[in-house]
Amino acid sequence: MGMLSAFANPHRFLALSNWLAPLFYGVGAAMIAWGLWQGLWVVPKDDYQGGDIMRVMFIHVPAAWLAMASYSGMAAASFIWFIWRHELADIAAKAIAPLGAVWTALCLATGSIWGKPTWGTWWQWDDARMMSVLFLFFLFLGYMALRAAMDSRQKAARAGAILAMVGALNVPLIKFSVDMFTSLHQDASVITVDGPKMAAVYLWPLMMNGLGHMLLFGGLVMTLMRAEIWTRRAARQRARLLAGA
Amino acid sequence: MMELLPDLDKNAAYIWVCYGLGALLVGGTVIGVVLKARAAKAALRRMQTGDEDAE
Repeated sequence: MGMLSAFANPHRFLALSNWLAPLFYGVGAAMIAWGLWQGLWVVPKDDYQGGDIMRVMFIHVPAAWLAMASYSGMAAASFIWFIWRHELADIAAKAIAPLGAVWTALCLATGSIWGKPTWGTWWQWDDARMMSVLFLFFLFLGYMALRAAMDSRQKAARAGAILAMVGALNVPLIKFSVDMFTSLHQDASVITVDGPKMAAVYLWPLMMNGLGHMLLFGGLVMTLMRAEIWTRRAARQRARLLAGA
Repeated sequence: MMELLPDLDKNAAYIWVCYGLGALLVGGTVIGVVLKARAAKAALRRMQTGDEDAE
């Protein structure tokens, strides 16, 4: 807890993120570029997976990982704020929400586009995987709308934290939906109890893309957190000026 | 030598739309976030300058 408190200092966070965020951008972008080059030009097409359409995997799967990981991160940050009232945890949760929504939208869109030539349909309303990811997207939007509707920062943080923590129940549902329910979506092939079922030639570019997206996402979260810290400081400054006037 | 564009099968259009959408969404988000951070920092600087002027 002591280490967490040390990093929860906004001043220390600004100093750390000043060099860490650009580093995450650079390394993340390089990893994504390598992964996409491998995915589009280098790896052979898999006729068992419908031919070249499986190349969508290098966009869709990292987006899906990020959608679930970002919501888990938002819920964890909300939990930390709820218990210990660290302002930076609330700032982190607030920063993750719009980015999580973007990656979830990318996951939904690319999944739908992949589904058309593979399953013959863009969308299946009674499919547990598709619907639970769509619900995740609405949770991100609902979180942002709820915060925006509150008239004070404390109320926004509290209401948002409760929604984020309750909504976290949806994350394991997404992960295990293909095992628990009948789904058009294929079973898990990377994160499984028995290890990855995928051939190494596909797995490495996929892992590089996934890690690259995570680093890029981390850099973006840090940048948005920095923006929020500056915005709150400006608001405090304004309040001080008005009080002194 | 590597071709400029990969030689994809009949589903090429679906694949390019996915990659294009990814580039658009991720690239747009990076630009939007960086601009937002710059605007927030500039607003704080303005406020601090105004504060010093007032003092």
